[in-house]
Amino acid sequence: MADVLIWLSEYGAWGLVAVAIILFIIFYDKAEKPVAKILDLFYWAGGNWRRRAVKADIQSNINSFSQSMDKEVPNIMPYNMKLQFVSDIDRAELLRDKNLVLVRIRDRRHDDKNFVRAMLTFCPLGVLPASRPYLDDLLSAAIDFTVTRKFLNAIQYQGAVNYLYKEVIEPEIAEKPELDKLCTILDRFDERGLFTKVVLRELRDFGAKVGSRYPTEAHKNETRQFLKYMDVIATRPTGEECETTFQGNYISMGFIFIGTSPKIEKEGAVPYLRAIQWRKGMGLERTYIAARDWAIDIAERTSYLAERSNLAKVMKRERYYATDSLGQRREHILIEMQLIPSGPFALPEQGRLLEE
Amino acid sequence: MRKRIEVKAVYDQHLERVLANLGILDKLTVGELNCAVCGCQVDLDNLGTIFPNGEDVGVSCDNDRCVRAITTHGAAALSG
Repeated sequence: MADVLIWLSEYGAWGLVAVAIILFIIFYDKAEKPVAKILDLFYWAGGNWRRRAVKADIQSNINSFSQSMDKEVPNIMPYNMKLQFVSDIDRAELLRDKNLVLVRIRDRRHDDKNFVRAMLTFCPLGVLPASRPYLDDLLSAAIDFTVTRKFLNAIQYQGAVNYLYKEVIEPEIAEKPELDKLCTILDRFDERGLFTKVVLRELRDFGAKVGSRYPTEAHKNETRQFLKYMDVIATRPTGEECETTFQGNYISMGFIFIGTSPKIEKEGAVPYLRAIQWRKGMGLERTYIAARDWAIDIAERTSYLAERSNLAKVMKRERYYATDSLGQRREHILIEMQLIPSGPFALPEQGRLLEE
Repeated sequence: MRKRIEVKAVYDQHLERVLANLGILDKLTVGELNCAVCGCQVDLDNLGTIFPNGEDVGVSCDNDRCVRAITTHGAAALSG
């Protein structure tokens, strides 16, 4: 610290400028929004300033949203967007890159359109990039619409939300009723707090596992089946039994719902630990423990005991507020647990008493 | 710093210059160009995207369905 102060006193104002530049480069991602606000102040100063302000506004909002999504579940939106305004491009240059598309961005009066268009152009490249080739076009479009709606809600841009519904989604779903169904399903997942935490998270891993294989109908079919399964989970009335595991070629996961009060009073966390054991025996890779309100503590205890018993490892634990199937907003917990595979000569675990 | 994905765009301020460089400004002004997706007439007012279409420069109108078709699949959307 003393060295830095000596260096600063030696170089005076230039030293400060150098430090500011270094900090700006290091924290460029974080500095984008304040820079956009500053540029906004010079919007009146001429065409070049207006262009810079429009660009900075769109880019900083999209990047800030993308980073917040990626913070919630790493690698679902791993990139930032660079909105590059082209002013000098000739015919040969355009024709050289067969994938190049120049999107028109208009003046600020059309910002609702600008934001929607920029985000929808970015989504196919920036959301689940590794999984995209293995998703069918309808699911890809539904994911783009849902993520764009989430983005516009996050920046509280109601005009752009209206534009998205009226000018983009409605005309497309009028032509494709299947897309309408998918958008409704994804919207329901989002309302229940499952869209980012489970659906995008599982689809991200799906893409990583499929790796570089040639995309086939089987891949697309597995993601369709997974969505159907998730919809049953999301619409399940409280206490009703349903299939809680999904085991595909690449997606392998299940849910454990905690909340049957007589069961808990009688046996505590034991039935849930047995359920984890059962899933482990089935060869599932991951299980999510879900609970709400008073059952949150039991969910925490179950995950703690499962980890102590070496059944599973807690990967993520998140408390959040979401709407349940009856439309009530309640506190939820979702604990993601990676099931630990048993060694080849391990003793059978079924029947062992796990609760202390 | 996170990796950046480039989204290329034309701002209204430079639109005419870019179109002139690409050699399609006159055609567009007199209404000789059509949207590569829906086939409607494209002019300076309703231009949505510019992209390479075979050995020629393609354009789409401002309709969001057409813009999305091009930005999602590029010129490949035209054959599909």
